[in-house]
Amino acid sequence: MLQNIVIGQYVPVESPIHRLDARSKILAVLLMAVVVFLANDVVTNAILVTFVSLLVLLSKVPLRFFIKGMLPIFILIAFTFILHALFTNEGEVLFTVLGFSVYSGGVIQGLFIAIRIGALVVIASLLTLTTSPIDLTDGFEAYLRPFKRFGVPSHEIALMMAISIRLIPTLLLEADRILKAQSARGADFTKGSLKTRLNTMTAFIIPLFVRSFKRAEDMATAMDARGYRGGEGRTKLRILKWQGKDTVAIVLIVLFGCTLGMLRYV
Amino acid sequence: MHIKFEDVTYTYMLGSPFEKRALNGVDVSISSGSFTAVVGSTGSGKSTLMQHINGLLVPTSGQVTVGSTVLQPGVKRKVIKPLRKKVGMVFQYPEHQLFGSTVEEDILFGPIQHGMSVERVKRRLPELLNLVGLHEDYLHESPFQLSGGQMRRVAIAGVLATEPEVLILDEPAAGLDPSGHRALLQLFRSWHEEHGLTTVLVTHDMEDAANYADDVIVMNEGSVKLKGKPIDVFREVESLTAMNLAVPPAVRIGMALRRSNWSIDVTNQSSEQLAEQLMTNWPEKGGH
Repeated sequence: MLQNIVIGQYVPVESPIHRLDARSKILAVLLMAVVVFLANDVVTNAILVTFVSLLVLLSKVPLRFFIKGMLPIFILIAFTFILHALFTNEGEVLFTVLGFSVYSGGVIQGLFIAIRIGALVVIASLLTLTTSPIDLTDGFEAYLRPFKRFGVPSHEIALMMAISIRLIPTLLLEADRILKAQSARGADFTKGSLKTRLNTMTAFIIPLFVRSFKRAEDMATAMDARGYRGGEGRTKLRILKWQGKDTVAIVLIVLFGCTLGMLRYV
Repeated sequence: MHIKFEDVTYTYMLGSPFEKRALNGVDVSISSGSFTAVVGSTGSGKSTLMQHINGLLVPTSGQVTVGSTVLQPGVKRKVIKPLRKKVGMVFQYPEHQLFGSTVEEDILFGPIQHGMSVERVKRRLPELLNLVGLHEDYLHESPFQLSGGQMRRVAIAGVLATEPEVLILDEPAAGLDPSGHRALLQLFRSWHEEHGLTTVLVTHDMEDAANYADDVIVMNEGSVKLKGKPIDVFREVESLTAMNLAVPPAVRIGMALRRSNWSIDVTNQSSEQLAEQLMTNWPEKGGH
């Protein structure tokens, strides 16, 4: 029942983007978040769309994974597009709906905004689709480390992230098992009044909670037993390596940003 | 109820890069009233097969017939719902499904969902609890205060309370000590005989298959490799070993003794039967 959910959304295929260091990819996403807003006319938006499409092609991740990521954001994009189309009074009047005049400038502005938001979502999805959750947390930990002197528990935050991500599939598996067990006993989670449905839901939620607390306790014991004592002096099995291609990737993004900036301001 | 699989294929996560075919053209039937063991190593598809019997999984292609119900790709929910009443299923570690604030509430969950007469089931609860080996005083206690073994008995009572005609058991004794293991399987065997059920026991324990089942189905890599009476299946030592399945010790020893001319009946399969035959044969063989 829950088997179709792919968590972390990591798609393990071979591609140049997959092989980049997690830190360079995180930095690239942050840079792109700024660069995206430099696009403001037809030319720059066209370049932006082309650039992002190239990245998607380069990642070798099937297109439907991006579409799946876009779906929840689609409403937001559609909403901003309509707002812009209705309330921008530039250019010539195209047509009138419900007393609102829709101007050509509004439609174009709406499209630009939609493209920017879409590009941002695609770029953010690229990060999670091409980086394994473990690498991702390691990358975040590396960026958090400098803030340790200000009292940010970077190791603990990374550990919490890693454990949560690690346990999502386990939790889903458990949820699937309990759903099946209760369905086999005749529970129908989709029918009945609100009261009966709430009652049926407890048959699902309570065992899930009981098992989760039990697992957390077992895990704490297991970590204690193996001598876990926090991040102090702890070495890593997987070491992130910043290579030449990571520098190249960042330089490319910066160059791309500069190009867009030049086209916009010069 | 007769259970029939016709060319059943099941693929997990169809249409994703994680696609995995778990069943591959399974053709097998389980006759009404039999106690059938489905054996196979981990990942052989035995649990997937079993979840088709009450429509928890619906075949990707092919069809499953349970009594008069036909399960095909795209089958409607209203076809599956009545089937769930007829097919009881005890999952691995059934104690993980407990949720009620009292044992009684938990056991009654199934019967209420199936729209059975709660009064009638309630009257039979003390008897049912005794049958699974618990004192009826536990009815009003929280299931979470019981021991692991007791919790499992409560969960099993919860499945039996719906009075199924087909009982599916997925490794019901996993993690129990040997005496608890034996007691539980004997409980299922006698319940099977008293109520004229069709029972399917999914296990990787060949000894359980030998001791309790009338028929054995051997699964490997998503298809049925062998089917027959336990002793006929156990004769295929080589193919069983190739599938990472061990022939039960009693059968293995019996076969070895027969090869060295002991008069051991090959139809023996359990340790008890072998011991009995050894006892009767002992003086004449050991005397010379």
